[in-house]
Amino acid sequence: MHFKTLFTFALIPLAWLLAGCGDNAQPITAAPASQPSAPAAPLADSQKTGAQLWAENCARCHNMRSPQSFSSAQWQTIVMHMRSRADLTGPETRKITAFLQASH
Amino acid sequence: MRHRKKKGVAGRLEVLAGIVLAALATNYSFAADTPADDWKAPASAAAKKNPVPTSAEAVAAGKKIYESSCLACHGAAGKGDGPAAIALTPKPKDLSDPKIASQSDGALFWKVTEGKAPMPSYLKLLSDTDRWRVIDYVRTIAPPPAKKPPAPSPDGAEVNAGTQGVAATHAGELTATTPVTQDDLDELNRKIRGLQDQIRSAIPGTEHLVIAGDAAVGFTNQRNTDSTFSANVSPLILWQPTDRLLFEAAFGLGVSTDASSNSSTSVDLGVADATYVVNDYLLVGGGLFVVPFGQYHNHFDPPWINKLPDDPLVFGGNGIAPISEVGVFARGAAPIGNMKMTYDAYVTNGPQLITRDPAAAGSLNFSDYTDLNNGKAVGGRLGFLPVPQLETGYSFEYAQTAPDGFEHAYALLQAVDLNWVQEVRPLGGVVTARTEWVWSEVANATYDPKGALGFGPTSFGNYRNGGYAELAYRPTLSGSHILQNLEFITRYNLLRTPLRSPGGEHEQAIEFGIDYWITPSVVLKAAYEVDDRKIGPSENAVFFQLGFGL
Repeated sequence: MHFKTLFTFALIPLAWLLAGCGDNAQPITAAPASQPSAPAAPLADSQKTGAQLWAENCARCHNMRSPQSFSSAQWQTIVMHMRSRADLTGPETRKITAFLQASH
Repeated sequence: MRHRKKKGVAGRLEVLAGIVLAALATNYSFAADTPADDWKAPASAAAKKNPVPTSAEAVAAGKKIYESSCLACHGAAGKGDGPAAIALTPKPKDLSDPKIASQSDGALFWKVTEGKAPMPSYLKLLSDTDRWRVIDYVRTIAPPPAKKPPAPSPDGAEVNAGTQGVAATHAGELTATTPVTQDDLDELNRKIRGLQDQIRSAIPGTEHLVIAGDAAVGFTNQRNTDSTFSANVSPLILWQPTDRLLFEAAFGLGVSTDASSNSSTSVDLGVADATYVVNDYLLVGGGLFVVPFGQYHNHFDPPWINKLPDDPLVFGGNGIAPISEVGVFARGAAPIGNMKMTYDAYVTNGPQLITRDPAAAGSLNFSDYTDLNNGKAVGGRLGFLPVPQLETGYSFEYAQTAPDGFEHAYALLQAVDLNWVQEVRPLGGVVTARTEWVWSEVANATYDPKGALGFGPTSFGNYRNGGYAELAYRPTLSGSHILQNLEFITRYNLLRTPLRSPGGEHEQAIEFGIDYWITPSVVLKAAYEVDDRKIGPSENAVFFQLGFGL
């Protein structure tokens, strides 16, 4: 009984996200900022820049790493890894990746 | 006696080796600091007029752009002391320096556009107009010289208009006057940099495949135990065959030797999972993954992130929280205005109730990955970030834990966590406060019911709890290079297991540590632990550790 109740609670947000958000993922590779932004996101995403998101999200757990620590291609994979570890959203992941790659 | 003495000498040698290693690492970080301060904009770029004349509006707009794109490194007052500055080599420029003030708007615009690692190229990150506006704002930090913008490069390093076509200048890049335009050459230089970056990425096996990870060399001297060195290297392999798919594998390779020369080596698979991006707010995956139960193992445990040389009691080897489990997960995050919510949900094989070990019956084994029954574990975590500097969460895991043949016994684990990291200017540094508390409840059961194992029958209320609270301070804003790389840490640990259960104990410990950050991911740690136990003798300890992040 206990088990089932908890399981249901765990599934509610999942169902909501699957139904509400649909498949709007974009490639991780950054689009130039000058282009019009992607179709209106279903959730209001922050207007923060890649520089801000980089400074705010990375330093919460570990020291900041210099953008030079890895190449552009490596950053793409590493930020994807951190997206999963640190629960970043798609837009946050793309902005941080674009910022780190612009340093190369 | 002889033997002990020998060990002491060997110990000193190892410490020396550690110091040499540390010195090498320091050297390495300094080596990257060498490029001369000779970054000059080409003459034609420097001569460019600012099409966004300075005005209250332009400056106000520029200030906003500065705060969102420049402040992280250059700092609120442009002194080059932003929160990220400490990680960068060379250091961000002090924008109030007369050397900045003496440059023309065109020269600064060119530099913001082109970038010079670690400073990014803002060509694609900010529009032309925004880059000019930010220069209008930077002028309020670094006012232009009273006279007109000076002609750049009096030392003749640059090529003057009309004299020749193309010439090499600083950093081996090309600049030109006629007939090729500077814009053409900037474009060419960008392409060259892109190629250099690609070459670096194309080292065999590094395209979409990254080997990262961490390593540690430790030394522990604990009362009632012989002192010992330890070592661990944990490669982390990341492979991203497509934009939406990521494979991860991590394994710890460990060595330790005790005084009586008993040594052991271990290979411990910690992660082997696949993650798929469903959409911007949902990832799904499966395999052997780090369980998002609390934050410690998911966020803080690598030796270059954990500020102390050991794990908090509650998350350590005899702790009461899961580490890695086998199963499937879904996770993601959603913004709520300026706040953010994160969620994790998983179904796994779950932990295993120890029923036959006279020293541990009643506790949960979190490192047995196969299931012993048909009941699975269900768990998850809801996280909330009211501001980016603060994350707090609630986690639970509910599992059927008893092996087949033993009486039905569930376990319910719950945890709350809080992590706050803030630069506090009046204190001249960064303060980190972390705390997590875990409650474990296992259904009543009778262990060794027939007495066949020699310790039963026994049964007890199987409630366990514990946690830690950690406070750290690093004077990052200190002018002293040594001081700004020091960090002071204290942590309180508590772990209570039923006193009537096999191996039951109430233990608390306070640790005091000092870290020296050789680079942002190489740290030398020293810590002292004052230990207090209800049943066993207290075991105060001294720890040293050299931690590397790769």
